[in-house]
Amino acid sequence: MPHITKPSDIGLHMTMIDCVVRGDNGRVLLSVPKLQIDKGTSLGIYGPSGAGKTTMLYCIAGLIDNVEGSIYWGETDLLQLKAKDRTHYRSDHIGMIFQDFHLFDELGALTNASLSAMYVSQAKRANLKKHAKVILEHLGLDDVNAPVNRLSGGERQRVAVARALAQEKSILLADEPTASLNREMADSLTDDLIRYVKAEGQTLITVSHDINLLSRMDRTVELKGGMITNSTKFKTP
Amino acid sequence: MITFWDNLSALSQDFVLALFLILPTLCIGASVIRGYALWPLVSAIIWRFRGPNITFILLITLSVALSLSISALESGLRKGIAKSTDKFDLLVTAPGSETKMILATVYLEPIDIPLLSGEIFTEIEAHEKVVMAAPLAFGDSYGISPIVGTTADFLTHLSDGKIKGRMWQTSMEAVIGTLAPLEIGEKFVPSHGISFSSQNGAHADYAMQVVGRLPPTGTPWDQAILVPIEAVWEVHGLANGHAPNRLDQLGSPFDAEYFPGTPAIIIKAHELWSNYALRSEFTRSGTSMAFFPASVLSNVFKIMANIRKAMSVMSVLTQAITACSVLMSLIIISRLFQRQMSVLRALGAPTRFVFAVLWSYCMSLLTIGALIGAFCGAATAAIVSHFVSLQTGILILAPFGWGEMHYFLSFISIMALLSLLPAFAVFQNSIVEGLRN
Repeated sequence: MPHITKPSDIGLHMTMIDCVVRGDNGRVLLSVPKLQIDKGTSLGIYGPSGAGKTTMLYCIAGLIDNVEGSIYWGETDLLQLKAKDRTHYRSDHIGMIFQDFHLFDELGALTNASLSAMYVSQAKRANLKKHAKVILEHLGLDDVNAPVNRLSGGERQRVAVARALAQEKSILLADEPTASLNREMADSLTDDLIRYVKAEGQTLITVSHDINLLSRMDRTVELKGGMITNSTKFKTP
Repeated sequence: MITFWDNLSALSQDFVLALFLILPTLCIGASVIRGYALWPLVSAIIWRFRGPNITFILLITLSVALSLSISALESGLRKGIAKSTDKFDLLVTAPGSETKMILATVYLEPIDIPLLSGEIFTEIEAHEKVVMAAPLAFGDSYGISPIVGTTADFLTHLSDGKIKGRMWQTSMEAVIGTLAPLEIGEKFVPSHGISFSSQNGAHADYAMQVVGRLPPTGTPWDQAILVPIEAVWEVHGLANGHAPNRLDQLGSPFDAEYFPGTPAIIIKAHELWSNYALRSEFTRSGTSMAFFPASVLSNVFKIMANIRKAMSVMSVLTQAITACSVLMSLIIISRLFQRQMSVLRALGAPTRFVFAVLWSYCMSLLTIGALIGAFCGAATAAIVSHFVSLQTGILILAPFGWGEMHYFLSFISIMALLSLLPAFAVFQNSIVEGLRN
């Protein structure tokens, strides 16, 4: 029976050991012999398109089946869990921000940000909605009830961020969180994101091409052809 | 258990069966949706893919409406036809096809049938077991209304004594069926023959006056104009059934010697069981034939029941094909929002929640389609039965009854079970693949 870290453990350290993801034809898409991240730190992943950045993020989130090796979050080896248990683990520990927002267009901003209120216990619903509203307002969204299909790209991204932050998870995984924003908005969102995760002690892993965002990370890794080629503090070119 | 069931009233049995049929849906719904607040999401998905959803709902509507309206119409038609023989306990005609005789007498179809002699009629009329023996005479018409000659006793029997206006008192007076195109007090001249083949003016000297109107009977007799049988015979230059010294008499008793003949005699016996004795007594080879119209129709319905059984098998097959089509459609439609389901799974939504969203979505479409289908089916059955009633004169009521309710609930429950499959199908897809779509 694999050990599962309790939801109360805020800020988890992660260790990837001999992690290999293969494509349908057996080709290696990602190979990480060892990568360790301390709890409460932030990691930026960068590299050229097709390098395996999103695959690595999905792998860390336990979204990919049949991954070889081990991915420890705290004491929990995510790869030893069944799909249902990985889903449960994500529900308890991992907040996700997707590159394409992946919002429910016909729902309002607040309903999207508090999406998990639909399936958490009734006792937690009111607090979750309240917290999501506070985050949305803090992120500068004026009309929290507006359907998200009427919002700009920047506003939609903020709703997606609020959705990830609303449940106060110990891990935050973000895929190009600033890609659709202009410089000013991207910097503003970066400030908010960093402030939030530091304040909450969350572990943040983000895939990005955004130099400003990467430079604010505690550590960065560069991926090329599915392999880590550089692992250090990001230096602005 | 069987005894307990048998002791329940028909209404209780129908109610219990309805509960039993909807139980699977309630159980699935309760176990799948319990504890979730998913309706904002389900309604958002329905709205987002409204085009395909409306098409799907229309298909379900059509399927349910057709099934329910055909079932209601078939049942209504059967009941309507059966009810139209209520006042025709025992019929005596010349030997021949019983069905043909029923068509001519009960349904007033213009069919040539041979006549019975005055001797037979007077023998029946005088029989100790007979309360009423009514001769019929056909052949004339007014517009589309057939003119039927008979006796006042039969009219009283047919209308249960509830004639508006009054009964005829002379052979120049008539009582009309509720749908006949005349009013009380109006005069009319009978045409020789029926409908299109009638000869206007053939009986120009015989202007008759309407003095009464029958209540609705729900049979072709509602279109008829009823006159004393003596009038029909007199119009055609025949003896009027009575001896010359009693020419003004209307109705029984008739004189065999002056009786021109009748195609059919309607008999009402003192006791129900007497009908069987009378049937045997007046079924005479080459002379007369006595039979129960309801029994003949019952035999026809038995044949129809066999056809219905064969059709039921076909109907079950059709429904199975429909169910497969619905299932395939649901799986195809649910692929439309594979991305949304993958997002939920990636965010850590419990498997049962994703399952509940899909199941609720499918059930919403099916229930909306089935409800609209039930409404359209009821409307179609009502409209078609109205036109068939107008065409045949037989009152056909096709309201939705427990049979249709049971069909509806069975449909919902079968679909509730089938809707689990698209939900299972979503979990066969990879989350990452769904997110990248």
